[in-house]
Amino acid sequence: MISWGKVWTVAATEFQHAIRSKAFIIGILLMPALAGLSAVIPKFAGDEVDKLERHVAVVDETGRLYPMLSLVADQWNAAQLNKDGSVKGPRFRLQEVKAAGRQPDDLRVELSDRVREKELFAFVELPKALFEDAPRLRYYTDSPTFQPLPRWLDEVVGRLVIAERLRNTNVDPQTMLALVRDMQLDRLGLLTRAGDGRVAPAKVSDPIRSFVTPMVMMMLMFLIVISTASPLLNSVMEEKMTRISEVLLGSLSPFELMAGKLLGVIGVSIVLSALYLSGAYTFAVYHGYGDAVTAVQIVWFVVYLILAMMIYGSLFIAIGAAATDLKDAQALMTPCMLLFMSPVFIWMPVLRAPGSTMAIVASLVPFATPVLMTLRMALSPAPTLWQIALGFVLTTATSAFFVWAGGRVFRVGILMQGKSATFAEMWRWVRAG
Amino acid sequence: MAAIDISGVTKTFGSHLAVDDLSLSVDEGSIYGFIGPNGSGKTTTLRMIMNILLPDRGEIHVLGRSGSAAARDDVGYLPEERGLYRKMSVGRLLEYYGALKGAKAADVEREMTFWLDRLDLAKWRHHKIEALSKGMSQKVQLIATVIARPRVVILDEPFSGLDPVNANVLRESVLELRQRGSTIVFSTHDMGVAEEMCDRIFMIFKGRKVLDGTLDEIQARYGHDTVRVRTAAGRAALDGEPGVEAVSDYGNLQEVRLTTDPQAFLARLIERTPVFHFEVTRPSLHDIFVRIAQPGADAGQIAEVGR
Repeated sequence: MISWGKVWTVAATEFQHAIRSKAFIIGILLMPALAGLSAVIPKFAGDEVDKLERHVAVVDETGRLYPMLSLVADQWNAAQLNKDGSVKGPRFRLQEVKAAGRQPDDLRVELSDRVREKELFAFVELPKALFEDAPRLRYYTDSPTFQPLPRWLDEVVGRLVIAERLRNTNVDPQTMLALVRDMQLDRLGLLTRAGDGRVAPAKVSDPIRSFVTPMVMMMLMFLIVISTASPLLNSVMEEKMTRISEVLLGSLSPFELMAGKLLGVIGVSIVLSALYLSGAYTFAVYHGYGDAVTAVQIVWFVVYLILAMMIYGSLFIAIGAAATDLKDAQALMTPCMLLFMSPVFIWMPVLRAPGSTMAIVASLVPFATPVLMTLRMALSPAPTLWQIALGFVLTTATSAFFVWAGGRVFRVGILMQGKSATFAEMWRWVRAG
Repeated sequence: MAAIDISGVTKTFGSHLAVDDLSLSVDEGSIYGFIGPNGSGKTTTLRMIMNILLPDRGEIHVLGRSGSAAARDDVGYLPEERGLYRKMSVGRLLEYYGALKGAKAADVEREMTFWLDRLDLAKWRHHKIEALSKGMSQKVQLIATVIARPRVVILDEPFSGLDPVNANVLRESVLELRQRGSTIVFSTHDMGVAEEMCDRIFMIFKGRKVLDGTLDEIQARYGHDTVRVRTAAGRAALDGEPGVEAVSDYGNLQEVRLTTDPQAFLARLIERTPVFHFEVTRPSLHDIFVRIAQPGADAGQIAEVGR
């Protein structure tokens, strides 16, 4: 018979031990700090990099586009200066290079050498075929990850080509400008009709609500589970290696010990999520996004968090009990971590098409359900009720199996010394009971 | 009533037979010593008594209960290799171990105060375990074992690695526990401790019981064929002496097992060297242990002899 009093004693001790540890306090502060820095650093770093001048050689085989392109570049560069004269973005210094009788490849090699010597950042060819059916720009650089320049060239040369084509049709310049004018795309939600028959206007889509909120919810789930469940591995291994487990097993059954540990870390994960969610809510309310997450989403978040903790907590406990040293434990952990990381590999397609078959199926795989269903529930269109219910049932069944199987592995492994178990041996322990 | 009753217990690990058809009864209020060479099955037997391991065959009753209803809360267990949370304070650790035994906080507090004072550890109560010396840690481990005032105390090698002062303190504590009514079972490699402290001694060898009885009963079974001698020549005086079957050399003293008449042996010895001490005695537990646990000895045959 299970002594829940003893389970509670273990859980309370594990919980207190975890939340009083320096690692927990540092973790609480570190996670938001890292999230903040990861948002802020690229912006500052990007701005710093983008303040550079980039010299670009232009080989204009059309003989018509360079003067216009140079003019637009001057306008662009002027726009990169603040009123006080400080620079706020990248500037492109164009210089025309004539073939002057050189073979195209010779010219390309010569310009490539100038790029290598950092005299130029890149060079671009505007081929004669630009005005034909399949126009192509050729952009050469050794910095392919820098995007602003090729994007600018693509856009500007594209417009110049259109303008040039229209000019040849003798269209009035004013009309021509109007024809190539930029267009604004308004992203809107769906309309609803109220009970009194009036139509409520569609809300303008907000990237904070449609992208940032789901991503934050998903990342919170992921980070809380990994940061609270994975220490179980070390805790069980330490107790095993220092023979504390044998002392404990003189007082309570292996299942009671494991259940206590699991409940303790579930408590820690709930405290952590309460801290993060309330912090995020306060931040959201301050910026006018208090309604970005509903109470129902929060409830499901906690439910899926508990189920994920049961699955991965049991797994880490079982591995901690089966391993006899850190190296073996890490080897056993690798496939489990891949399993745990699996939602991270596919969250982007799910974000882009939350109603796709792939997104639905992936979010029903129990190892990924807590993370992906949390993501989908914050996206539009949200998963249907049957998907949420099925995800809950499958994940609950899986977590029950993992607790049961983890308990069997723990019972045998915790007293084993000398050699770490393999997955095959662990499976034998599960079957043997 | 027997505090512990083991009946026909067998335990195997894979193809290794760790405990073979073992039966044993430990009277309530007694001190029972488990002896046996390394790997003979002592710890496995103790773990089965604690219900940490389950026997493949046979039954174990502790305080009249068995299996999943085992009397865990009434049994204190000190494993061979000590297990303490290094980062926990002494007081917090003892509270935790007491709570796991189902003891009330007030009772734990009373016992903790008593034992910390008794073992001179009161000032260490708020220190972390990692700050303690090895001897102090072992004392804390003993307190953790008895914090819930168990009726049965099982100690696996409680005195190993202790200096004589700390070993004495622990020995006195064990005797005190018995005075308070606990039944004590402990395993040891120290035959002197077993002789001095145990009401009954049990020896296990290759998984089988080979000795079980009081020291008198065991020594009587192994006869009066032993003499203790102290001579000027020491161990060398015994070389080539007829009738000497085995010698346990303690440096200044030799324990000699004879196959001949002790008086005739003494007469011959006096001719060879000055004799300072000569005592016809029963074999020591150490000698009996060594006789039984010789390499290649058959536990089955010894078990028959020992009956």
